[in-house]
Amino acid sequence: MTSSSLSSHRRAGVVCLIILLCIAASSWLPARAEDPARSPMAKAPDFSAKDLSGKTIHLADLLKTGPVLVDFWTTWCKPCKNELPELDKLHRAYRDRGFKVVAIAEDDPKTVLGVKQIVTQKKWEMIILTDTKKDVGNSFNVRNYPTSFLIAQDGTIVNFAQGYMPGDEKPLEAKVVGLLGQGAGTTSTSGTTRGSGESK
Amino acid sequence: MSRAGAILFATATFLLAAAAAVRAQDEAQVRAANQLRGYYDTKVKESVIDNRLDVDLGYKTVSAGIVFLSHTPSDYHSLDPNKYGSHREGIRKRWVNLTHGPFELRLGDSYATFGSGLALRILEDQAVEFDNVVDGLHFVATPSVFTIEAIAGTNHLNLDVNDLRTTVKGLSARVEPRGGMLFGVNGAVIDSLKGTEPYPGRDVVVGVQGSGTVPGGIDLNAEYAIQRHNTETRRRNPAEGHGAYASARGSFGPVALTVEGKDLLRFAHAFSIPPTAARQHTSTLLNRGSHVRYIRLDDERGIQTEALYSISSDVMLTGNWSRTEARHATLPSSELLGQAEVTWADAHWLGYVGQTKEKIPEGLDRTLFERITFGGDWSRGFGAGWALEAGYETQGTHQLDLATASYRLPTVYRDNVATITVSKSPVHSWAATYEWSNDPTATRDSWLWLEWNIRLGLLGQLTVGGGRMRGGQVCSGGVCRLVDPFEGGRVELLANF
Repeated sequence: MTSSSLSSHRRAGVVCLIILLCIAASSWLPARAEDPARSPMAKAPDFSAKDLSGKTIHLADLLKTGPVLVDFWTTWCKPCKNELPELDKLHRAYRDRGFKVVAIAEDDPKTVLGVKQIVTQKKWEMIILTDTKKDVGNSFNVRNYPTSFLIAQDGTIVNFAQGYMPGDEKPLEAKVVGLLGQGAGTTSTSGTTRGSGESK
Repeated sequence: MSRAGAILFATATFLLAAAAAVRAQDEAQVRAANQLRGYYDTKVKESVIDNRLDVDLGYKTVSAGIVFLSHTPSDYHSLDPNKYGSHREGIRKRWVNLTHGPFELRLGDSYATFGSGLALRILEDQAVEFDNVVDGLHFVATPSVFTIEAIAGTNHLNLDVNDLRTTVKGLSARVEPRGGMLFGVNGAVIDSLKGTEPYPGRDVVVGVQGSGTVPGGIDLNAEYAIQRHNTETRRRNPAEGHGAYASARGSFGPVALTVEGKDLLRFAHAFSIPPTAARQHTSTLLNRGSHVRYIRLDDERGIQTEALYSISSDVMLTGNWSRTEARHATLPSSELLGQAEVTWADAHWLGYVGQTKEKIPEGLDRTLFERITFGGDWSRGFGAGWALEAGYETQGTHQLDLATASYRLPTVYRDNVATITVSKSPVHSWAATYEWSNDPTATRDSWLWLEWNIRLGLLGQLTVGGGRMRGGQVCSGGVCRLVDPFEGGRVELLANF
């Protein structure tokens, strides 16, 4: 390796580092008020996949009644197992208002049985789909699990998150409530009743 | 601006401008996702910058997409392409998709999976960077309960590394008389055009599959395929093999039970990823010290059973046993696992213990590896978005030369992994992974890796990490790869726009 190419790489490295540190520092700044329904994000790719009974579910059909949270997970992913019960609570809390959680298992064809096993035992009521060919996951460019996309009723992606940290469900719930409108009181996943107009 | 940057910028600008123009007129969709990764390897003092841009355009029933890849090792003339990847810049994949009612046609880079992937499995798995895409066409027709699926194409990725050029022609006919029940016939012809023995040659695969739910709520799935391999030297006496896979699952009150088995004999081709009869674990050491590390996947038979017992909604027990053997060497391997998951005191608790027995041939001798693994994981939130997760896993290995056991002391060593993660939802998480070992064959006795993850909202995610990682087996979706040990720093920016 020549000294000139080495120094250019070092320069590029320093520039990259400065940019990354700026991005990292900016993440500490107070978050600006965000209207999720107006975030300038691309539309979610439409997809169809089968649920555990073999029925084909289309994203477009689900969006007719309200926003949808699409979550990609696998049976061997540890954080997914902590996240999914929280998402199921979110689904139960807001499904009457049209919101749905769609958990898409990215396991290979043989571990689909494992998916059914877990879902049966955990008694989850959210929509569980399988994507053994990874078509849906690839259309969303998923490369880590869990990865979730909150999709507004018009198909716009308004939230994106990789991984799960305990507590993630609270800001997510606030965004769901925001999408569902500032209407009548809603029941939160923790069981408390929210007042009219609350978004957090 | 470098050549890669210029091409990237021009491509993205063109596509976004085109999409904006179309969008202004009608309901067109454009999606773009960019993934930028870079790392600096302190051992060889070289860096790699990797960028992937996916752009999809959709207009009514027509969609098209490209994947632009720029992979730039700093000194690609002398770095090992198998470890650092070869230098690439350009459009890696492109496709056009047409949908009309129950018919769908895709031209360009295409994927297909028949059944459980026994007869044919062409897929991309970004989690393990696996992609055996073919350049050709893919057609699916689903007029009623019947489905006809056809694919034809040639592989075109990684030819600069492995120089194995292969074409595939596959056809599948399936019928789903009612939800959850399926019967199908699958066939594929794979021609290996260029490469080393046993190529070139032609593989012909024909198989059947069936699945459904029988009274009592038990799900059954079975698949069988035969393979005939012809080469120039074996034209008069082609090798024949078969692959079989079956599974059953049922729930009996609080217990869910799964049983599966596989039997492969001389069954392998470039587009087959047969289902495994081994459990894919969530833990590092259980996956790394798997009992199927040395199994030849084209010549294996095995069985796996797993039971889940839900004592309550907060307590679940798992028991798993699997056994597999390679027919060519009759070396059985087995694994026994017990696991408990509990939600208690506002925290998630996970504990497990596993025993793995593996015999592998080493020259004329056979070596027995017996591994006992204990592990646990605990996580809890503390309000205001703060959370803590801690995990520990330890694996003791007892290695014994079966032929000379009475003359040589067995080797005993222990691997340990401890992790701690502090997170401040929804933006930050900091993780430390410390691994230590007294394995006499290991290159070091300790490894420390630190990582900071920053979520950037809709833009994406930034990950900054550094230190030493031991590497090992990473599995996803039935595909496993070995990750090389690494020393240095890594930066990954996942950006959506």
